[in-house]
Amino acid sequence: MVQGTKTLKVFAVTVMLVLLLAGIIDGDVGPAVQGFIRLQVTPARLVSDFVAVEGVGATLFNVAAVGFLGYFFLLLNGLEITGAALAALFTMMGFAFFGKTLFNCIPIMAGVSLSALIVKKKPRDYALIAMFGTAMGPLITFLAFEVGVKPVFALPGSFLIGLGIGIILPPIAIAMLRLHQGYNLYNVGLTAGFVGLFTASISHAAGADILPLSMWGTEREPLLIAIVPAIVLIAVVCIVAENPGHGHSNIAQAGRDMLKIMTMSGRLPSDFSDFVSSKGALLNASIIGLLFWIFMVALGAPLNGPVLGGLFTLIGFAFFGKHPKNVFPVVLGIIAAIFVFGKSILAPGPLLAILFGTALAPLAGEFGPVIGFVAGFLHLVIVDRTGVWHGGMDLYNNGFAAGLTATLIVSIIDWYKSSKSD
Amino acid sequence: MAVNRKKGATKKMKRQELYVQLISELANYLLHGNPKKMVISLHMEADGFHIAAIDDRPRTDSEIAEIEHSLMIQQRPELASYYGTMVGHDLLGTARLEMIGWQIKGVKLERIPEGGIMINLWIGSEGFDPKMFTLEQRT
Repeated sequence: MVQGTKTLKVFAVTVMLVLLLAGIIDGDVGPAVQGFIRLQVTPARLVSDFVAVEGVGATLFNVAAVGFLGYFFLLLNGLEITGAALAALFTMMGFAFFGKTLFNCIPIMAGVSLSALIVKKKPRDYALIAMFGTAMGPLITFLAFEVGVKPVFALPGSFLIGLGIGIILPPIAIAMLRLHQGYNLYNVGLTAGFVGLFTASISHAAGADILPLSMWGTEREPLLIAIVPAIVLIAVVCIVAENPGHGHSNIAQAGRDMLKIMTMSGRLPSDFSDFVSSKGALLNASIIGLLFWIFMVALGAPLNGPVLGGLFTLIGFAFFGKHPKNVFPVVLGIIAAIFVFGKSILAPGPLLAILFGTALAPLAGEFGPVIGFVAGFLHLVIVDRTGVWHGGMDLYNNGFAAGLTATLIVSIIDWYKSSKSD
Repeated sequence: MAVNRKKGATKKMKRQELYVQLISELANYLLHGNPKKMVISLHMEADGFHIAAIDDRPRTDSEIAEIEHSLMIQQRPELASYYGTMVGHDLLGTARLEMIGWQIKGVKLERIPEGGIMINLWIGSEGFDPKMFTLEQRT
């Protein structure tokens, strides 16, 4: 195993163990385990803050469990822990704060693997789609526990539908890439939103409208506040420990590598640990995580499930496309739109848009800060509407909106570049 | 018999699609450097093929090292089967040589006397034998 991959593996496992440990030290383990079990049957549509529903301990158990599910899925498929794998792992863990559970992830992951076998590929070929595809998890929970069908039919039925969704995700995800040409980092968000449009419409036609939920905690739990700094600390220790005895030079090298990372556009697929180094990618993740954590704390935002989910996803994608230089213009555009349209920056929608709208970072990386700013501005406008379209079934609603925004901008730039005469 | 012929035709079509995609991405990369001259050749064998691309743009050692690094990135099936489908299709923005790197079995870069470079790529299926192309196997 290459040294860099080994470091990333140690980083991922340590983070998951720390989350598990935090769940244990939060309080009574018994009630937390019961809460974790109840979370498996809790409605998971956007926005269902699991911290507000079952508390810190139960949620952290859920996050660690979903993280280990993703990790063992990678191992089972014989894949290394790389930047792309970390992006998928942290996205899974992040959304386990508000929607993903073991119950609703497994059928989709199995379905995507089945899809690979159908076209005579290996399940590992679609492993990333399987992991990101768990965005459709709320649909499984909805069918199993919310439609009012007897469990004897609802449970196997929801599993089968989950398999079906998993089977159709790869072709749609691949087709969606063509729309935005890799400029939306959350491509499966666009895919799941597209599928969600159909499922919500079928449900509407059957006379049962699916409406998004609004469970949003406003507390600030000390343990949850400490999670992101703890992850940053683990990342820094991993950088130093990669070449023991040369801690100072490791940090200096990581700094130089991070500068190299910041020259890249971040367009899909940009695996910073492959292209540059795992040290540089870890430092990039630390800085991105810390900057956004400080911003959230300074704003007075609640560090609840969804906000932590956003921070986890940012950290994950700092290995696979995001860096301060390409993220900053997009965030600025989103904040400008918040003020122009008189929205509250602390309301769930705008707050999540600031964190997740960074999916558009490659636009700023490739075409410059002005395009990044415009993309961020447009993103906030559209993300307000898209959640209702799929009834909150696509956990990556911002990925859906970012996909639409990126498609619009890329189409115009593509037309302009290919049509203007020299 | 008819089924076998149909399977053979599908395989051939898929192969041709791959040639076009890889050549497009490679051409996109070289054209970004505004060369005055560019030649791409394709040499087909039973179980693999060789693409050679030549341009006349002088490059520094670090530029060549960067190209080599992008093309020699380890095979990544999880990325190749998903993001790799963009190869040769979505050409807005800088070319992504690493997407070619995930698909190939061998690569060799050399400077040519005219001042540019020659990129040699070897691509083959599971049963591909690089010895046929007189290239040492990639490790």
